[in-house]
Amino acid sequence: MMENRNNRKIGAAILYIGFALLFFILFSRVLYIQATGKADGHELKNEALEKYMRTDVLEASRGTIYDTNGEIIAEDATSFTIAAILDDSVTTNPESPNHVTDPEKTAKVLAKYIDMDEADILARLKKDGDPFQVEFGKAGRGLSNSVKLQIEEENLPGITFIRQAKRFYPNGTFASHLIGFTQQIEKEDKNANVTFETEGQMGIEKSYEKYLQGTDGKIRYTSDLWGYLLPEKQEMVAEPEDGDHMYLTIDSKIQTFMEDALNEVEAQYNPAEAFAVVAEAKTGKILAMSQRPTFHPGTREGLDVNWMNDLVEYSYEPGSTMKIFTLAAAIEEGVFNPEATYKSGTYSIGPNRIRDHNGGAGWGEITYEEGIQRSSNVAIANMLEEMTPSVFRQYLEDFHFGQKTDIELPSEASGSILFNYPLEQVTTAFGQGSTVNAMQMLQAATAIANGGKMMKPYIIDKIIDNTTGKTIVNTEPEVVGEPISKETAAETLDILETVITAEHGTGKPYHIEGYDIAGKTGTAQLVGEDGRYLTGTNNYLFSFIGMAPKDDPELIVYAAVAQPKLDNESGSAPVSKIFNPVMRNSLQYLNIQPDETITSQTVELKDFTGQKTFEAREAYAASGVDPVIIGTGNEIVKQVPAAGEKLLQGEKAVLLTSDKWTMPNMTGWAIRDVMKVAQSVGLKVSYSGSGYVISQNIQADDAIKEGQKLIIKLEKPGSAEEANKKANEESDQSG
Amino acid sequence: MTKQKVISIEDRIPKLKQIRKKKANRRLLLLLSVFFSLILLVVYLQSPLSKVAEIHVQGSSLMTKQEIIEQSGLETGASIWTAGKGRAEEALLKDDRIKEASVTAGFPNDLMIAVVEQNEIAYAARKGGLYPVLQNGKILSEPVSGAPLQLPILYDFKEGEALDLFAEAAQTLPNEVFNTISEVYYDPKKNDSLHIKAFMTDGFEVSATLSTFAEKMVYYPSISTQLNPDVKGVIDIEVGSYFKAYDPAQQQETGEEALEEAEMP
Repeated sequence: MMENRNNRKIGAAILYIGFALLFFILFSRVLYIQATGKADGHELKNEALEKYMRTDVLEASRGTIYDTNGEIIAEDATSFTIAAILDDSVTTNPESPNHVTDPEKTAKVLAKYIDMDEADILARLKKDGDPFQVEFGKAGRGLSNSVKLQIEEENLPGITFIRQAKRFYPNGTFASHLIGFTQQIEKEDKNANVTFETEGQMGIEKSYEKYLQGTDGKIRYTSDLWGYLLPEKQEMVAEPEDGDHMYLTIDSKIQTFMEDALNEVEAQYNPAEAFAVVAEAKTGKILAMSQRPTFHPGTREGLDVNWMNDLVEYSYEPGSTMKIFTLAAAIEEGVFNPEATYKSGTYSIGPNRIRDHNGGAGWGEITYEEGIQRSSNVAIANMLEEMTPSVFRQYLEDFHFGQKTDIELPSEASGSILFNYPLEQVTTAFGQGSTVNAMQMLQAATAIANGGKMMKPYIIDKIIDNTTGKTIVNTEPEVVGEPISKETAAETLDILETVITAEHGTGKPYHIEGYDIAGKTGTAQLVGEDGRYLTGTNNYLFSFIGMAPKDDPELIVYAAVAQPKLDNESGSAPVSKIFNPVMRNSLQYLNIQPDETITSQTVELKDFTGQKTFEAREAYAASGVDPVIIGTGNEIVKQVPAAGEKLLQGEKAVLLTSDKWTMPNMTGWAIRDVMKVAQSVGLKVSYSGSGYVISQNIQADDAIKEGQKLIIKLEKPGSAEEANKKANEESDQSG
Repeated sequence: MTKQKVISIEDRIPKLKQIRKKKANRRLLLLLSVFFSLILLVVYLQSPLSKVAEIHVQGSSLMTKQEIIEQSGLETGASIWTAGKGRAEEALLKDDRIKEASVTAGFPNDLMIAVVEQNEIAYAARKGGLYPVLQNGKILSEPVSGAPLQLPILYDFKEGEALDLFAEAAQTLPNEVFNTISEVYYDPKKNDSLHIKAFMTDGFEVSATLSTFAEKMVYYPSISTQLNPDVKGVIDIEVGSYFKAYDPAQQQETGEEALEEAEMP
């Protein structure tokens, strides 16, 4: 009995100690984990985060590129990526399934909308390994909203869409080599997650990537096992910083004129190259720039041919357009006498001979002016000889040939001046041998067009920070040199005008009715692959630089066409088909220039109520408004428009006096002026027609009183004149 | 020593009594004041002093005072505390003619409604007369009675994008330019659904598109002053800005602009 009791005691003690020990071990483990935060060497906190923390990228939208008038050239637009959910666990109600139930039908329908075979789609929809959802690669990305809506109309279960931003170029082929394009670059991060990042690949999109791109944001949140957002958990959001907006100097309208002209020339002549640029003469702003062959920035169709912005990156021998600058130098040096004569044809320089372009036959003894009109090489060689090559070399420097213009575009070619041997010196003077880029030609031409002040060409007007709205980059016109005087510039323009107007002028095809154009043609030999000049009638670079209006040029248009397929036409034909419409339309488009002095024509009406009638009338007339005085009272009781309103000079303003109101003669008035009288007196108005008053029921000088009814008949002035004309014609016929 | 410390009960009782009395008095006072203030409150709530006696209206010209009070839903005689000032403001804003509204209570029992009405910017010409068009692009359903104000008259406009754009232009354009617009015809073209033509007080006709109307018209004065006022015609500001005389024979006389215009293909 006693032993039994002892045993029990011992058993209880063992149990007690055992449980105590167990509890102690567990407790110390808990304590350890709590204190160190580690288990099996893993940081528990991180493990938990990894399990429940999700990170998503919030895509920053790329900056918009605008033209000078704020019209969009490139912007981010929403596109959609299609995905198919295959897992049936998402379907709770079999009546309306949320996953793909009929892969065959789905594949058949989708094949209509996305660029993928029915069989390939089906293969994806039946992918092994029970994926939760599948996408369709490139074919399923970048779908427009309209395609998305069409697919949604088909009511396919399990088909969903993921929103994405896509670069959108609303103008299509439009300064494509200048603007460039963007591409979605596939990127794999360290967790093997594939993301697509938009990157500029060419042109401004590429070289201004750091402004346009913006910074992607991040969102981090904890979620449950199934990826649902846990309530009341704080999300950590780093807002994306959208890209900055760029404003170019390009004017969409002029650019469109140019694209149209280039399209036409490309279709008709199929040239190896063609390019053109329009610049504002007084500022160096590039208003339009394009080239052929080109591509569509959205589809990148046509991009395989040429990735180079020809106007900036291509250096070439300019041909006779260079003579503009030789001529300007000769005028500045005082060695150009338009009346003096010389023997055209050939010019000997050591063992070499320079020939005029009619095979060295020349045109006999002609004046220098005619020499320029006929683009005579011999004339240029004589002028060079007279001013000496070393002086001309300095002019080339002053016109910044051989140096980059530093326009804000990548990989500008600098061109090179060959000036070592006498022959090279002469050929450079008429545009062969030495090379230039189009921007240099344009820059040098601004000196001629802008009274001797050479303006640096530029294309970026400003860059605006998207978040703060502040201007980060702002380009102002910059004078980069003054190679010639104002008088020389004017005289050069006078001579260059005769290139177009003179009987023998090579520039005759560039005549535009109604405008005075100054310009110079160019026919440059092209260097073939073997390093020799190409032969054959088409193998030239035909070009033209024109400035208009001649007396005070607003625009410079430079157009060039290389190796056109000519059909018994001169090389000027394709170039003039670019130059003429672009110059004419642009001048017309910029036709009536708004001037900035509007405020001076505005009159703010002062308060004259209670004042003497004659004082008010005099004050009105002095400020330029047309006073309409109702009545013969001595005092003004009402003004319509009221005091404080603003009017343009010449507008009618009614002054209502205290006494004896009478009707003014309203013939020719606009209805609004009629209503001014009606409002001041309190007349009811009833009218018919539109335009301007031809009759009124209350005759002029009849007494009027408040509440009376005024009936007015209006007529459109055009219709009256048309009617008159018709009447005249009829009478002519009868007579 | 000990004797001095002991105070006899007879000495202490009157003091205790006094203290007790004071306490009771204070409590009574408190209860009474609570009671009476409650009574006062009830009396106030029952009296006409807590009812809205008068409603004042400020800033109305398009609408009559009565219309505004009706629209607000406020009534005289209702409790000033439950009048629903916030609700009244919302109700007022529902009316197209009102841009801003605020209701404030005055002492002791008046209400003040202050409204800022939408400005009339033009009239829409329809059968039955001229209907005021407000700056928010709404056309009122009642035509103007009596003498109209001197405002542009719109034709063929309906509420919608075109009218909204015009209303916007009315606000952004300089006063002096807007004052020259006499009549505006909504004249949609196949390639421009926002095309309009307008007759100006200076006798010219303007052909424009509403999408650029506000920005282009800013330059109207500098355009029209360049033109010969005796040769009437159409100033086209849809794309560039050029002038076309009604009578082509006069085109030559209108100066350089017209000469250039003659080159149009």
